Amino acid sequence: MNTAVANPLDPVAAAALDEFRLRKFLIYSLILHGLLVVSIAASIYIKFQGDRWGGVGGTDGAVTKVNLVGPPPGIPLPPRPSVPDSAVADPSLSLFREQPIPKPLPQPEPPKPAAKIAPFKYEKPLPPTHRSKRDQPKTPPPDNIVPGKGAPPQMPTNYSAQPPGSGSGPIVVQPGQGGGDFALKYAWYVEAVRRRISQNWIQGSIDPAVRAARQAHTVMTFTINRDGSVSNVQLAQSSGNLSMDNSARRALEGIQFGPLPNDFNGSRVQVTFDFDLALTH
Amino acid sequence: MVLLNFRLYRCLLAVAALILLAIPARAQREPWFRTGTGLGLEKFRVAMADLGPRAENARTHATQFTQVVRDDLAFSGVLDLVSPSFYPTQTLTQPPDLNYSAWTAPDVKANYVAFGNITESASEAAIQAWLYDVSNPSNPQVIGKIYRGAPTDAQIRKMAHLFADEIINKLSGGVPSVASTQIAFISSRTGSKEVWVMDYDGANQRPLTSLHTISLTPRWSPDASRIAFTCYQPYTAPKTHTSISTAQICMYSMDAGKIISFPHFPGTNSAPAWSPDGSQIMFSSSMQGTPDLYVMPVNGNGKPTRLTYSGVGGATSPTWNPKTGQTVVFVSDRGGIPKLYSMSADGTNVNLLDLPDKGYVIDPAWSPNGQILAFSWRRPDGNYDIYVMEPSSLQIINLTPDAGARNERPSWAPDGRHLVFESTRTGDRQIWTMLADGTQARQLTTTGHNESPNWSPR
Repeated sequence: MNTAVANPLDPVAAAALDEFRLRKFLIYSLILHGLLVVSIAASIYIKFQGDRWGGVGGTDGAVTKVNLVGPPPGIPLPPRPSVPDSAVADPSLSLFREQPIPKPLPQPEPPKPAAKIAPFKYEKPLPPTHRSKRDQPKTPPPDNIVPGKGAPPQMPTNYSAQPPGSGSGPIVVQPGQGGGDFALKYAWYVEAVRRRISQNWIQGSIDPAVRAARQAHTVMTFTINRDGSVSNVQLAQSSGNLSMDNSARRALEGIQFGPLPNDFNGSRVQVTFDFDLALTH
Repeated sequence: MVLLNFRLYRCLLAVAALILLAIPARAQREPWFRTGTGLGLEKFRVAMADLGPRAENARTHATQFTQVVRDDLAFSGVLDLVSPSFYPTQTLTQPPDLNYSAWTAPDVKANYVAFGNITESASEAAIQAWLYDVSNPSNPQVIGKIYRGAPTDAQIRKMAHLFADEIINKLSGGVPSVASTQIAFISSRTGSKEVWVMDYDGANQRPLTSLHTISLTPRWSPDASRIAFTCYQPYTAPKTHTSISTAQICMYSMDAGKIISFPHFPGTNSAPAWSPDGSQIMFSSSMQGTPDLYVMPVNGNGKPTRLTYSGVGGATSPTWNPKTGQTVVFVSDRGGIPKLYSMSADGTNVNLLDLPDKGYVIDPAWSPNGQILAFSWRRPDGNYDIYVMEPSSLQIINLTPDAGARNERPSWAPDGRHLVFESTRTGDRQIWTMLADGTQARQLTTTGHNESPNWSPR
């Protein structure tokens, strides 16, 4: 022990004094605190890791892919409003008049021929919708964009040149089924919701090219309240195609599910729903 | 040596504390689940095991309950009923008896199993019934209920209908079940046309009125508490005080079990139609000369408001769009032969719903979702057939092409999947039901002449 009385005004002596007494304990303390934080974080991670992603129906994580074989036979739904050419029905005698076609907006400037378009690095993205007058941008693109420096070409649709995922494989994503406690306890309710929405999903309004490509995948989220009503419908992941996203949104409109299970304590449940053309016919 | 700054040390501590607090907060989330399309849309398979009687005296009712539930489930059209001949042979009366692997075996392949037992005494029958999800053994119970009632056939049927309702409502995700609904119709089996009512499957046919005159066109109110119909009642003209029997709108109360009063008007008053909120009645009346559509409040206060001015053609058989309440479709002769017209609920905007062929078009009925119109049409080459049409695209489908008889007066079930109608295909006029695509036609009545059915909304 240093018996010399330290002069507080002497920085060197003061530093030496502090260093001798406290440094050791300071370091021990920091190490112990750090270990504590790490151990708590690790234990929480381990605790919640397994149970969270338990598969529905006790199939421990395996996801089965089933191909839907055409319109389900025998379901006595009222006839779907697809409109084939029929000799009997005369569409010109329809009760409702179509909206008057709005004046065509000015076409955007085509990219200058001398500019090189940057090659895409990733997998071929979704095919674009055919140009429809209604999807034209309301304002023409500004004159001062510099094309050819890696900017995506100005296409008049909502099609995005960025691939929707970072995967190197095709864009087919296996829709996960999961949900922690709710899906384990009330698998029948999840299944009923799935069927109701799948039956309400009319693919006829999706662009034929997108439908033929069988790749579009839209993810919607919404909340089911206690009485079964749907609220807060949001687009969580766009497919890159407006008609596909709209068909997904319309499938959720006007649905009233059955009330949440009686012994469920919460007042609502969040639902993430995948609309995937790849897994349907 | 380097002295660690105390301020830096405090910052590190604060950061560590924040991390510690943040981890548990993120771990607790709102309840949620994720699912998606494309995982198969085959109908799910439900098995209804034989109800186990606890004693011999309950055996007939056990068989009856089981049969009624199986019929209700098969009728609904939302699921596949596993054929009873494939069931495993073990007795199943309580949850511990349930052998999951036997029911998910490839030859049975059930997704859900319904089972239970019945105890009967002289004064009460008690049925315990469960629905279990056999593909989720860790949390299998979907329904667990006890039904109690008098030990009569009628009560057992009612309990079976309630259980089937419960199964269909839960498994279909909110599609209404018709197992507890009824059908009102006109029967002449007692000698005069009276209003009768029966369960949707044809059981329990019983008369409601005994007026000994002519009753026609029964229509349930949207809350199924009253039936409006056309009846012949004496009408006393206010000035001359002469009384003649004319067609009037009459009202029967299911709660009170008798006919309640409704104002009478001169002329012929018929074809009542309820507004979707149950506050108004539209009907066809010739009180001002030619038959036209009038609307008035149901509680009888207020005078009827005239909506159409059809001239000689007349207007009758109105039907309100049950989803929006804004459109009414009716039948009018103004073009020479009966055709369908649509108008707004206040009488404006009358449009012809033109069909691509000639012939009488009558008996329009909107489906519960307000998107499809069913009607009866006699085309020049044949008899009356039931057609369904989407008014927005004018696409038409013939539902009874091979019946070779008169098929008229369709009425929709509240699930929007079934229709009830009258048909002469067996020789005399009887009530039939079918799926909305024309398949699975079933005869409900056999005695006397039965016509003009109307499916209750709940």
